[in-house]
Parts: sequence; structure tokens; C-alpha cells
Amino acid sequence: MSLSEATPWVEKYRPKKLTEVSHQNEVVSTLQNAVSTNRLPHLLLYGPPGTGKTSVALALCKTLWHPSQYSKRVLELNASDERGISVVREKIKHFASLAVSNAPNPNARKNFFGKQDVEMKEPDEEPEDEYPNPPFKVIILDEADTVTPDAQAALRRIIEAHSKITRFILICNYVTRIIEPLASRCAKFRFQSLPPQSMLNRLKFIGEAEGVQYANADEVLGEILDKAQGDMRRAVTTLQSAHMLSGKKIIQKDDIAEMAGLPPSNVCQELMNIFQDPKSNFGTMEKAVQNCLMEGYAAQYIMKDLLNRVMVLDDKILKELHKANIAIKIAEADKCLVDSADEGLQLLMVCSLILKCFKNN
Amino acid sequence: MPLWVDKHRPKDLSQLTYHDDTTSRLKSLAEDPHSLPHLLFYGPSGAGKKTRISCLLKAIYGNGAERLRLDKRTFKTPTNRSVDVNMICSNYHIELNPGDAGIYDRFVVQEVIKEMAANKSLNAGGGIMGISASTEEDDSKKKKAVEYKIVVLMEVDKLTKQAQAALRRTMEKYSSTCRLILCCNNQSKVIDPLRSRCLGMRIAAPSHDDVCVALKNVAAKEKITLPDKLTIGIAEECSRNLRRAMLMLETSRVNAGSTVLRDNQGIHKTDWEMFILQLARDITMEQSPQKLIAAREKLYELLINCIPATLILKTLTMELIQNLDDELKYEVIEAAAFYEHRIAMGSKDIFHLEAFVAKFMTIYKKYLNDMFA
Repeated sequence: MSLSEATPWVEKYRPKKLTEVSHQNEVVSTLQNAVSTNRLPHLLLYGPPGTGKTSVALALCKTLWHPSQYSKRVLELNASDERGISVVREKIKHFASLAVSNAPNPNARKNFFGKQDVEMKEPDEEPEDEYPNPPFKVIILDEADTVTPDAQAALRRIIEAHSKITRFILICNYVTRIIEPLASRCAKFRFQSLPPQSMLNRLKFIGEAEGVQYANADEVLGEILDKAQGDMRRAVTTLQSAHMLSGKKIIQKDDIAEMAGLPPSNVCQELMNIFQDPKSNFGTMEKAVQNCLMEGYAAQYIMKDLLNRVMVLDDKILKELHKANIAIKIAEADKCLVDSADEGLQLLMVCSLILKCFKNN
Repeated sequence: MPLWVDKHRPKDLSQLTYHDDTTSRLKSLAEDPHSLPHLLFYGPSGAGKKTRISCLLKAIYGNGAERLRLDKRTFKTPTNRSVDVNMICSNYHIELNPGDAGIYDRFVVQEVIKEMAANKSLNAGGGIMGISASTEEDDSKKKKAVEYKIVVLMEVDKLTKQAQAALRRTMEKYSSTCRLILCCNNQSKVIDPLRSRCLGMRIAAPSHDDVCVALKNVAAKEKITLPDKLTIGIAEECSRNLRRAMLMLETSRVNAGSTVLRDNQGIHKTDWEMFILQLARDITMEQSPQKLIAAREKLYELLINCIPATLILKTLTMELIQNLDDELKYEVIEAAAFYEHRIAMGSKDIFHLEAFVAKFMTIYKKYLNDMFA
């Protein structure tokens, strides 16, 4: 993919070397060690979205091989590719079982059978010596938690049988969705949510490179980080959208919530005011809730925000027992929403409970 | 003759009447089409999401985006089943409703995007455009450099989780040749990884005033006299759904039989709403097994007429709680939320609807007994 202007910044500023990956020091140093000693185990990278799992996997492969070798050595499969059990049996098995020629310099090449090194003949502009060029191939299974358990089971033996020539890198959000026999065959690396400081540094770097202008850099970037909650990709996308939508002019702090698709804080504040107002009744609450939904805010975010606000209230305003009940109901409603229940009813249910709790206090 | 909803749909970004903030954002996006990100339009139905999408397409590609044709494509799945999907295409974009494909939606989405991504837009070379009408030439020259196509996916919230997961990396990989515009009612049902890859465009429902302005505009174009009181009545009745407001206006026009509408001519609710209203009245009047059986028949009648179960339950709940004591409202809503979740999870709607009616009867009867005992 060419790096034209159309490229999203997320792709443009994806780290190209292992050393460029910010913050995941343990993972990076272990991997670098593995690269230098040429002992790469199978890897299982897991962690929340936007913490650099795919970036690390891609960067690792890029440090191992010369770009001309890349396509021969690396098979990238993600959820957008067909990955049923038949693909595991045919495509992956086929790729995994094909041997590779390891020929870092032309002299060594002569020692091999002619057949294998035909493809290596073209002279490369860059010297290949700079790359370790280890004698194996890599299959990256991105978003591995969406691979069916059946297909995962089929992978077990393939991983072991071909471990001499093929290394697997599994990437997923939820390690629990990977079947145990598969997970135990890999070295596991957990990716942590990025701390704000290292995200801030990276955002500042990108902002400078793209010539982004802020009304108040610390405030705007702080707001972006706050909304992104440790998801680097989200932060970068938000920054790019804010930059573009402001017509490449100055970015204001208030625009950020709208860009990130989150309800601004006054929406929930209004609801809280209604709950605490002794004069309000069910009707006024219902109207406010309908209004929130009509404005197009997602019920999930509103509930999350409400929970944060309710929990910090003083015991005199709302009893602890009520708080616990509210928290339970919000958790239930969230589960229902994930199961694709109706937003309106769930939010109304939660809000009427909160109202009831305030009235009974 | 087209319905007024379609006839008077704004065709250009400058014709949009409300949400000026969003409109100006869309304009600045259209001015710089190279860096258009993937977009996610969300908001309640009848708020104008689709209208805005088509306006944006027009602003990016010029008039060519309006020349639509209907394509019926057959996809063959790996398990050798064929799936038919209807798509609306122009030279520059494809619009499809992947929900049509049922459980094969993942496959359809992948196929379409990969196919789109594989072919570069002809417009980029400018060669083929010579054949098309000369009026388009200026436009195409101006927009020459836009070298990607757009895939518009409607009702993304109806996509299965697998299909949404399938979109994630595809979106990033092919972003130089293909952009996505996603459109949904309910942002909660779109998985997080997708949301973080898109620029969200919140389209709020129009306010009452916005609806009134739009109604007046259409009335003026159709040369009918629309009294203020009726306008306000429609605006209140349409529950901030502009499409519905337009349909109501047209119905009123037909009912009046002339171009002069009167204040006192009633606004007609739809049949099914009247039906649910009647049902709500029945079950608050008497709670007994006989009434439950009667209610079942009514529910069946509604389901047979293709009213979605969720909608029935919601409308029924809203009707029921209107005349209830505040104490009871919470209980009823909790029950409604509970059974609505069951509807989403289960497969047979009637069970859960009936269960809700029975539950309501229990709650209400108990309340009455406690009061008079």
C-alpha cells in the first residue's frame, strides 16, 4: 500500500521497527533477545485493542527479513480472511510444510540444491546481510479469538509438526477464547493499556509531523487521551478526524467528545439533576431519557457515565445499598445491550431504578 | 408518482435544513476527499442519515453518484450455498444491506470489499468518462483525483459479530482503494474495534422546530396551505421522525381531498398503533386467563402483519405506563426490559410477548388487591 495522503495516520505512523514500539518494553526486549539469538518461540500476543499487538508482530517480521523475502516468509491471516477448518487444513498446512531456503549470501547459495535458490537470484538494492534472515517462516494469525474452536483444535498438531520451519504468532483480545492446548504451545505476552504519558508523546510527535494546531495543546491532547482510554488507535484516529474536520485549522477542546462519539458531560449532568430534584417525577425523567436517545447518544456510554457519577455521591444523598443495586442493574443492562436488546428500554429501566432509589432515600 | 418523502429529499449538502454543525463538517470532508476517513453514521431512524450519506457522495463524486442502478448479485459461499443480495450501485459506490444475507453476511461483506478494492476506480484515469454525458465532464475533471470507491453498508448494527470482526483488518488494508461508510441506528451494537476505526457522525433526530420548518418547506413546494396548528400536531405526533412526519403530511393531504388543510382534521395514527392501544386498554381493564387468551390473538394478529416484536413490546409498555401509578412504573419497565432481552435472545417472539402481558397482569392485579384489601 502506498503511503499517499489518503493513508490513515494509524497506518502511516505504525512502528516499523521493534525499537519504535512505545512502552511495551518487556515484550520488545524479550523479542529482540529472541531475534538476536535466533530462537523465536511460537507467540501468543494478547491485550486490549489499540495497544500495539499487530504492530509488534509486523515490526518483528520486518526486522527479520529483507522486504523482498517478506512475502515468501510471512503469511498474514486475519478475521477478514476465510479461516474455517478447511483453510487450516489446506492453506495453513501447505504454507507451514513448505521448506524455505536459507541463503543469506551468494556463496552459501551454491551449497544448496539448484531448485530452491532460483527465486533468490535477483540482486537486491539493499544488502541482505543486515537482516538476520532466520531459517523459518512465520504465520501471523491476527484476531485469533474469532477462529472457531474446531479450527483451533486442528491447528494443535500442525503447530508442533512443523515447528522446525514455521513459527506461529497468534494475536487476540481475549486469551480465554484461545483453547488451552493451543495457548500452552506458545509463549504468552500480555500487552498493557498504554499509560497516558507515552501516548501523549507519540500523539505530540504525530501532531508535529502533520502540522496539527491546537487551541491549547495540553488540554486538547488530554481530552483525547481521556476519551481513548488507553487505545492508541482510537487516539490517533480521533486526532486525525479532529484535524480534518476543523478544516486543518485550530482544534478546540470541545470538539473532541463529538469526534469520539461520546456523549458530552452535560448530557449526564442533566439526568443527574433530574434524579436529585425532589420535584421531578417519572414523566420528566422519561422525557429526558427519550431526549438522550433521540440525540443519538449510545446508551452504553450514558450508563457508564451515570455509574461514575452515582458512585461518588455522598452516603447522605444516596445510601450505599442503593448504589450497589444500581451498579448491579447497570451491569445487567450492559450485558443485555451486548446481546442486542433494545437501548431505549434498558436505559429507561436503569434510569427509573436510579430515580426510585433517590426517592426512597 | 413518488412519495413526498423521496421527492423532496435534499440532494445537495447545501439543501440540508438542520444540524448545521454536522453539515459544515461534511462539507469540509467533501472539500478534501483524499483524506476522507471511514465514516460511521449513527442516530435514530428518520433523522436523515441516509440523506446525508447520499449528499456527501454527490459532493465527492459529482452527479455521477446519483445515477443509480439496482444489481442483484449471487454469492457462492464456501459451503456451496448461494446467497442473493440486492445492491444499489453507481459508478463510484455500492450500497448494500448485508443483513439480507442472514448468517452469510460475513462472507458477502468480505467478497464485496475485496472486489471493490481489487479494481481501481476508472475515474482515476479519466479515460472512460469521455463516453458519458458532457455535463458530467466538468465534474469528473474536478473530482478526477478521487481514486477510491465507497462501500455504503446499511444497518451495520444488524451484522453478526463475525461479520463485524471481518471488517476490521479489511478496512485498514484496502483503505487506499476503498472507503466504507457505515450506517446504523444503535451504536452500542457496533463492536469497539470498528468504532475506533471510524469517524463517528452523530445525526440526532430533528427537533420539533426542525420538523415544522421541513413540513412548511414541503407544503410550500407542493402548494398546499398548512395551518400552524396542524404542523405542530404532526411534529408532536411523529416522535421526531422526519420520514414519518412527511408520510403523515401526505396522508393528511389525501384525506383532506383538497390543497387546503384544516386545523381540526385529525392526525391519523397507523392501524397497528391503534391496535396496540386497544390491547393496552384491554389488559388494564381486566386481568384474567380469558383476557390473556384474547391478548394472545391480538399479539398474533400484530406479528402476522410483520410488526417487529420489539416494537410491539415497546409501544405496549409506553401505552401501559401512561396511566399507572409511579410506584408500579419501575416494575413494569423492568419486566419489559427483561422480556425484550429474551426476545432478542430467543427465537419465538410470541412466548415472550405473552409472558410480558401475563407478568403485567400479575403486577397490576397484585397492586389492585393490595390497595383494596
